[in-house]
Amino acid sequence: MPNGYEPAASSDHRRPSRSGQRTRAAVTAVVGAAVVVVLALPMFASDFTVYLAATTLLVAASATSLNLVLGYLGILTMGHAALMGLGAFAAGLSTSELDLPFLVVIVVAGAAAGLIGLGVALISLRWQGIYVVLGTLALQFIALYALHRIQNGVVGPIGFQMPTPEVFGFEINSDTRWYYTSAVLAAATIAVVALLTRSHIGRAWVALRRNPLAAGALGINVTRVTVLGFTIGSVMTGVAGAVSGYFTRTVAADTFTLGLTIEYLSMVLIGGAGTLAGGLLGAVFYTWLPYGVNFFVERLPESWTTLRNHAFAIENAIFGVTIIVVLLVEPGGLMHVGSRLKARASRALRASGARRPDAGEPTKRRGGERYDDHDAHGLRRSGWGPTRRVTHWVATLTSSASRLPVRRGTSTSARSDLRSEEGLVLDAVDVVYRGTIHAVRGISLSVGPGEVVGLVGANGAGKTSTLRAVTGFLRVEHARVGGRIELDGRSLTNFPPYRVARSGVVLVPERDKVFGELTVAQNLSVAPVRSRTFDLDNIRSLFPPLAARWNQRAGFLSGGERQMLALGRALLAGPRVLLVDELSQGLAPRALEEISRALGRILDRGGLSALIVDQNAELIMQLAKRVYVMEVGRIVRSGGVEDFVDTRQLQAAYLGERAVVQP
Amino acid sequence: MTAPADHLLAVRDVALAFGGVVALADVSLHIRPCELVGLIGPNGSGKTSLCNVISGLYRPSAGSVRLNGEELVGRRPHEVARLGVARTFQGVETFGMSVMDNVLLGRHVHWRSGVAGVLARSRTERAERRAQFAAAAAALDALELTRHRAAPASDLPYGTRKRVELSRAVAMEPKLLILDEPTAGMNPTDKAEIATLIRRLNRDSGLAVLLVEHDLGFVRNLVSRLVVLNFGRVLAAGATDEVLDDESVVDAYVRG
Repeated sequence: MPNGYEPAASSDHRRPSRSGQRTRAAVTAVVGAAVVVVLALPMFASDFTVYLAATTLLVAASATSLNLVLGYLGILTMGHAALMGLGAFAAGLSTSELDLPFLVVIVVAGAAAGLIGLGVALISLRWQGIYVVLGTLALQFIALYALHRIQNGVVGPIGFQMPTPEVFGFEINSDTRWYYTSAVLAAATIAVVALLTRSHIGRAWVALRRNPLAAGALGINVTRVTVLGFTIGSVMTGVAGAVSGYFTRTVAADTFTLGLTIEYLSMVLIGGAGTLAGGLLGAVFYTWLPYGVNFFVERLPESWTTLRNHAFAIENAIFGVTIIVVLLVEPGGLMHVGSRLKARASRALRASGARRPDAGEPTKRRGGERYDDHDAHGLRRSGWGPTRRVTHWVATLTSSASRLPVRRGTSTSARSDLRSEEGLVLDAVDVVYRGTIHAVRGISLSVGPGEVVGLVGANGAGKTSTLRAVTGFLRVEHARVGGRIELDGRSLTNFPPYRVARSGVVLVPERDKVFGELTVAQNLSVAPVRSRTFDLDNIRSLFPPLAARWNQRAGFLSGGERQMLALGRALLAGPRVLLVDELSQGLAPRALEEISRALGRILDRGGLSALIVDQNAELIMQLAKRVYVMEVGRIVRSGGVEDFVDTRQLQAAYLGERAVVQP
Repeated sequence: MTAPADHLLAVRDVALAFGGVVALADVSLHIRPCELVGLIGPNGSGKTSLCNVISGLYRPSAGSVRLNGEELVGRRPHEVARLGVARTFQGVETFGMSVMDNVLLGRHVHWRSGVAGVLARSRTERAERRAQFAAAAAALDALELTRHRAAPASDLPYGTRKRVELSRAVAMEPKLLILDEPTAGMNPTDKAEIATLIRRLNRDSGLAVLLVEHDLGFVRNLVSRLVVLNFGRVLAAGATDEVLDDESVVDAYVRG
C-alpha cells in the first residue's frame, strides 16, 4: 500500500505488504552481496587489510555488547573496559595456570565477566541516573587495580602471553583464520542482541527505559529484567575481551583503562546507540580512521611538517568533531543516516505513485518496515535520551540564531486577507510529521489584541499540532512547520520554544506539566517573572487553593491545582497571548468551574488575548468570543460564539453533524 | 460487613500520608467479581492515591488491601500486576512502540520462555510466541484496534491511544482492572465508544472494573455501585443512583 499500513488481511501477523516485500527483497540482495564480499575478502584483499578487518570485527563484537547495555537498556556504563579486562584476564589465568583449551577458556571468561557484571548490576542498578554511572565507574577503577595486582603477582609487568588458539585441532594462526574467527564472534554477538531485542524481553527493556513505573504496572519486574540485560552484556563483553587477548597475543592490565571505555562509548554513539549495526559501524569508523588520516597525511607536501608530524592529533580531532557532528545532525548515529535515506527513497517511490495522503488517518508506518519490528520503532525514535535532549537544546540555539534574519524578510512581503496583522496571526500553516503525516493543512487564523478565541475539534483534528507549531515544540519532534506565524507583524515561525515564550506567546500546557519535586512557590519562581501585571501575590489571591499549599511539593497537588499552577506560571511569564491547551482535561466539574472562572476573571481584565483549545464546548462558549472548528487538519467553520445557538450545536459542529447548525 | 469470601478486592482502613499531608484516611471499599464500581470525588480527594495503593506504587501507613484474600500491601507493583490487577494511568504511555507491541507488552506476565529459549529459538519458545501473538490479536480485536495494529501508537489520536492502553491492560487477563480517568480529554463520541467497550468487556469476560472518573453522566451509565472520596475519606458509598442523589455528594462534587 502506498500510504499507510495495511489492514490485517490474515491472521498471520508477519504478512508483509507489497512495498514491504520489495524492500525486503532489496535488503536480502544487499545483505547477500555483503555476505559474499565479507566471506571472500581474504581472497582479494592485502594481508594488512585482512588483519585490520579482523581487528574491526573484534572491536565490533565488544561495541555491540556495550550497545546492548547503553542503547537498549539505557545504562551509561563506565565499566566496559574493566569487563573486557576481566574476560581477558580470566582467559590469561586459565591458559597460563590451567592450560585449558580455547573454547573452555571462552566460557570461563564469559562466566567471570558475567558474574562480576551481575554483582555490579545488583548493587548499582538499584540507584538511578548519575549513581549508576558512579557505580560502574567504581567497577572500572577497582577492577583495573585488581588486574594490575594479579598481573604483577602472577606474570610480571609484561602481562600474559597467550597461546595460539585451537578449535578441534584447527589452529587459528593466520590473519585469514583470525578474520573468520572474528567474523563468527561479531555475527554471534549481533545475533544474540537481535534475538533478545526482538523478544518479549527486549520489549520489556524498551518499556522500562521509557517509563519504569508504567512498566511495573504491566507486571514487568524492572530490577530483574535490567539486571538480566546488564549481565548478558557483561558475558558478551568478557568473551570479546578474551578473544581479543588471544588475537593480540598479550594480555596486560594497561590496556583496559577508563580511556578505552570512553572510546567504546563514543563508537556506539557514532555508530548508533540502540541499533543492531550501530556497534559494527562505530567499530569500522574507529578502526579505520587512523589509517584514513595517515593515507592523506602521507600525501601532504614535504614542507608541511607540522601537519605531517601531528597525524595523531588530526585523528583525535576528527574523532571528536565527528561525535559532535553526529550527535547534532543525527543523534541516532550513522545507522540512522542509513534508515533516513531509506525512508526518503521510499517516500520518493510513493510520491511517484501520485497519491495524496489520506487525511482521515494520521496513522501509518514508514515504508517497508514490518510492524512487529519494534526495535525499529521504539528504539529508533527514542534514541538515547540524555544525548538527544542536549542535542535538541543545542540545535535549537544554533538554528534559531541563523534563521532569524531570513524570516524577517519574508514576513513583510506576503500579505493575506486576514482580519488583522495585530495580535497572533497564523497564515497557511502546515504541520507534517516525519515527512508523511499531514496533521495540519494550511490553516489560517487570528487572535486580535485582547480577543479570546476558541479552537475546537475532535481528537486528531490537529488542534494540539497547531498549538505546538506556534510554541515551537514541534521542531523537537521531526516535524516540519510550513506557513507563517506572526505576533504583531513579527515572525515567530520556527522560533524555539523559549523565544516564542519571551515574545509574549505563552502556553498553558496540559496538566501534569508541573515540576513535582518543587514546591508550588518554587514552581512559580522557576522562570523569572516577566509580567508587569502579575506577581506572586496576585497568583495567591487568584487561586486560593494554591495559596493553601504554597510550600508543599507540586507532586502532591490534585489535577485541578496543577492546572491552576500551570496557569499561574504562564501568567507570570508576561503573556500577551495565552495559549490554553485542554484546560478541562481530567477536572472534576467543580474544579473546572473554579479554574474557568479564574481564567474568565483574568481575561476580563483586558490586555491579554487567548487562544483556547478544548474539547469542552461549554468552556469555549463561556470564555471565547470567536470560535474556529477544526476537522482533519483544516478549519471547516468559524464565527462568533453567537453563531452557535448553544453548546450542543457547537459540539455537533466539531463532531461532524454540521447539518444541524448551518445558518 | 459481607463475608470477604465474595469480595474480589477488599480495601480495609487504608491510611496514607505524604509528609504530613493526609491523602487517605480510614478508606474501606470492596469490589465483587464481575462488578463495575465507580470511584469519584473532587480533584485532590485521593482517588489516584488509592489506585496507587492498590497497585503497589504506594505503601499505606495502615490498613490492608486483599485480592481474593491475598494481601497486596507490601508487594511490588509487578507482583500485584501478576496477581491479577491491571491498571491504566492518567494520560497515556505507549512507550513509543507500535500498537501490536504495546498489547504484546500486556502479555508479558504470561510469557514463560527465558533467555535460553529466546536464543535457541526452541520449539516451545516459538510455539509460545505464536500463542502470545494470537492472544494479543484477540485483545486488539476486543477493543476494535485490529486495523491500527501496525501503527506507531504515538501517531494515533488521543482517544485511540487510550484504547490501546485499555487493550494492553485487557491482554494481561486481569481479575481487576483499574481505570484512572479513562475519558479525560475525550470528546463525547469517544466517551460513548469507551463506555460501550468497557461494558462489553465486563459482560463478555466477567472483568471487574474500578473506574475513576469525573464525568458523572459517564459513571451513571456504566457502574452499578459508586464510592465517593472527599479529603481522603469515603464520603458515601452505595448504589449509583442513590449516591448521586445524596445532597452531601452533590455539595462536595458538583456545586462550587
